[in-house]
Amino acid sequence: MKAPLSTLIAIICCAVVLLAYFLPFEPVQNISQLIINWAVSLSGIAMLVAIVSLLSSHWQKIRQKRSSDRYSILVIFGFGLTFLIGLVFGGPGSLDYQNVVTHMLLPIEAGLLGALTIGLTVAAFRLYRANRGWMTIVFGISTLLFVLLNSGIFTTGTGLDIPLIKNALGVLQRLPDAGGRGILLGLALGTITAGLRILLGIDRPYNS
Amino acid sequence: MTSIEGLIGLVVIGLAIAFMIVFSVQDRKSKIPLRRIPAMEHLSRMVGLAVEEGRRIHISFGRGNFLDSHAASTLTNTALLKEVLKQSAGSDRPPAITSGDGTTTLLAIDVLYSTRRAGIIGDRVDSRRGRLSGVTPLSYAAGMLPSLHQEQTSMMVTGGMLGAELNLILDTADDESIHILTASDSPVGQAVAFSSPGDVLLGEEIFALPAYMNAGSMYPASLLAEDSLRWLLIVFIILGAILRSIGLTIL
Repeated sequence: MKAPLSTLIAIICCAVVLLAYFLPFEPVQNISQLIINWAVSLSGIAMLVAIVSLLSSHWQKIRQKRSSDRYSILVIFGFGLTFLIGLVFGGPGSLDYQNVVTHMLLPIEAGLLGALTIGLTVAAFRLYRANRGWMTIVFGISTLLFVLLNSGIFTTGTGLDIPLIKNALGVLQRLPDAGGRGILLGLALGTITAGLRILLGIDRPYNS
Repeated sequence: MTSIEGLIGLVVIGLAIAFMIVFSVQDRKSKIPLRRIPAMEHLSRMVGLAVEEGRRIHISFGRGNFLDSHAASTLTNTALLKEVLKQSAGSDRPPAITSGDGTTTLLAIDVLYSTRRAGIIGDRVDSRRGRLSGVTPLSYAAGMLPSLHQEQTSMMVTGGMLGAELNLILDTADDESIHILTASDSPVGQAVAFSSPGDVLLGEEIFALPAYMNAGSMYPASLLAEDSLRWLLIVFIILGAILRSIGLTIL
């Protein structure tokens, strides 16, 4: 086994945090909390390192003699400006800083969101090109059905105040929740086994 | 958490470990056949094709990090990255990685370096190949798009936490004729990816990526453990519904 010490530390940390989640013993919970606090602090530092790596990557892109990237200049300029505004107005907690940044970010993100809306509408039609067999038909029918259901057309002003129909519509409206829960249960099971691979020292992302 | 819930949780964990060990032993004795997923077959083929064409493979880790519920998909992406690095060892262009979190970015860079140290890949890898793309949904997508235009990308695997913003990435990939495999752990992202012409993995299929890339016997064992736990869960849900409907409440 490569780097047994780091593997041992990872296994012990995993076991303590897992046990603290299930067992209400105060000493184990205190140690678990300490480990989680360390992880949060390290994650903050990792973000700083990642930002420096991002800036250096864009700086190298600008300096490339062949096909220099002009957009990288904008990234570095935008970062520098935001950082400077933060220093002047007193950091992310300051209301002035939030106002300035929000007024820059909102229009940009709203523009992207607009493009995304059109893209998603086109994607709904593009599904037929994707050729996913009978699932395409199910998708089309369920989209129509739920648009109609959520518009309230079946419940308001139509005189369909019959308990049986109301119950049937209720069941239909719950179907997406049921499907979503099914997917989430599958994801949860996958998460358990992925976590256990770390706990058993089989998966060692920190040491190839 | 009450003691009974804690106990049930520990039983589930114990069962999962037992299943994983049993299936792993079984896989070593005789290879466990995995069910056919067309997207996985395309993946291996496209990795080979990218190497032949001398073009880049892009792996997107998504926006999740290690301290939230997306940790599992981040781990899956790490295992996938290792396998892709091994399989594309002869490529002129090493894979590029983008992520939306600092820890994940560092982890990806570490995998690149440790694969180089192990001699699996040459000296062409540098830290610029693994970078932070953006920390919010739209900034992540916007930060990723230039790399699809400029880096001679031939195929892309998008994993981890990606929601509706995935559509911007899929659109660009389609325009650039990049073959894409989406393995988002978000139901919204999966719905968006489903409408794209590329390959898509749904639900827990996203955790199957390393198993189909032959990353080791424990990965197919994990898949079978998941399946066994799912069947147990189905039995308990049906049993619970029957007991509840006849007026019996156990928990």
